[in-house]
Amino acid sequence: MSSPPRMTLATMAVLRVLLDDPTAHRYGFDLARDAGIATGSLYPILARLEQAGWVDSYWEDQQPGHEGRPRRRYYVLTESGAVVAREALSDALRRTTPRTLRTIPGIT
Amino acid sequence: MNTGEFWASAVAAAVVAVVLGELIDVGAWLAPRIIQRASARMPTPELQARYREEWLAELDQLDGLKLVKLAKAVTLWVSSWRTGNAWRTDRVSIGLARSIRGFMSGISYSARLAWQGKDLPSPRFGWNGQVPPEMEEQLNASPFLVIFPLALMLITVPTNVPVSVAIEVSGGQKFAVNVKPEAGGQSRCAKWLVRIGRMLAVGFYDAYLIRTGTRLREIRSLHMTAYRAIKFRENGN
Repeated sequence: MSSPPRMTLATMAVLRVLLDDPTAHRYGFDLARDAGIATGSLYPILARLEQAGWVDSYWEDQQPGHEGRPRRRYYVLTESGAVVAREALSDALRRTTPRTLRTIPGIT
Repeated sequence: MNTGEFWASAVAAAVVAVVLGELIDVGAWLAPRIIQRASARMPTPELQARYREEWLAELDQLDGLKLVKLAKAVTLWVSSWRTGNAWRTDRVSIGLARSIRGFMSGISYSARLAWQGKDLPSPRFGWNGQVPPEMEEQLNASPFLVIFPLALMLITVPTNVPVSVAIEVSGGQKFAVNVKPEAGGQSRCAKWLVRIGRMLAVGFYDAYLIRTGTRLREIRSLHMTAYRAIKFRENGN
């Protein structure tokens, strides 16, 4: 496990998608589409998240209905990764959001 | 439109359609090869196999034109350097390396200006059996033979790996810069000393090349040859 990844906007977008349903298992292009980032940007981010131990990846078990389709590699947040990612994401959002917009009276 | 123009347009349209069809087929043929190249940038054979299979599977699932697959393959290839770098434990910031490279280019350019118009022998590089015998033993002992002016490459090569830079000049002058790794445990400071040593060696080498009148285009071509040779050596080991 290495140091925590840099929280770039693209990293935040990927984490947000993964945190939407931390138990969901997603493959690369699916993640890129939902995060709204280029596939080229996705894999370096996933590699860094995997290096940091926030994300785990594994090959899918081939189901009988999927015959003929090459197996995919799925990505899922680790238990500890989900906790750390949520904190890091909220920290990053706090840092990047102007102070005046953080609390708006009357709006919860 | 007269009959001649009509037939000319019809033939032109048919030719364009055939060429486009061929291009699309070439795209389908090219995409897996690009993925192969992209995955080869991963630092270990396991990661290379993993990403090759993963990316090919992703491309296989893409709906749409074959050219879309080609475009995706190209974006994966472009970013594969960063993906590979994320898996490397011994690495430095690419931004820093680029700055260093820029600095080195500045030195080289100054050397080029200083030696412009001088009558100096052109360098010749020992490769594919042309390596001078006295250098060969030394070079063979080095698992990484780097003939690169790229500081980026040199400072990202693990610091426990010896790096050699070899030059033979047609006039008979020869030299090899061999930057050996330090022994034992490597502190962060020691690693940086090795990197700085390599940068200086590379800067010297780059300046020397330009001083001896090698054109930048030739240098680039030689580097590509050297790069292929490095890959060959890596794969052969």
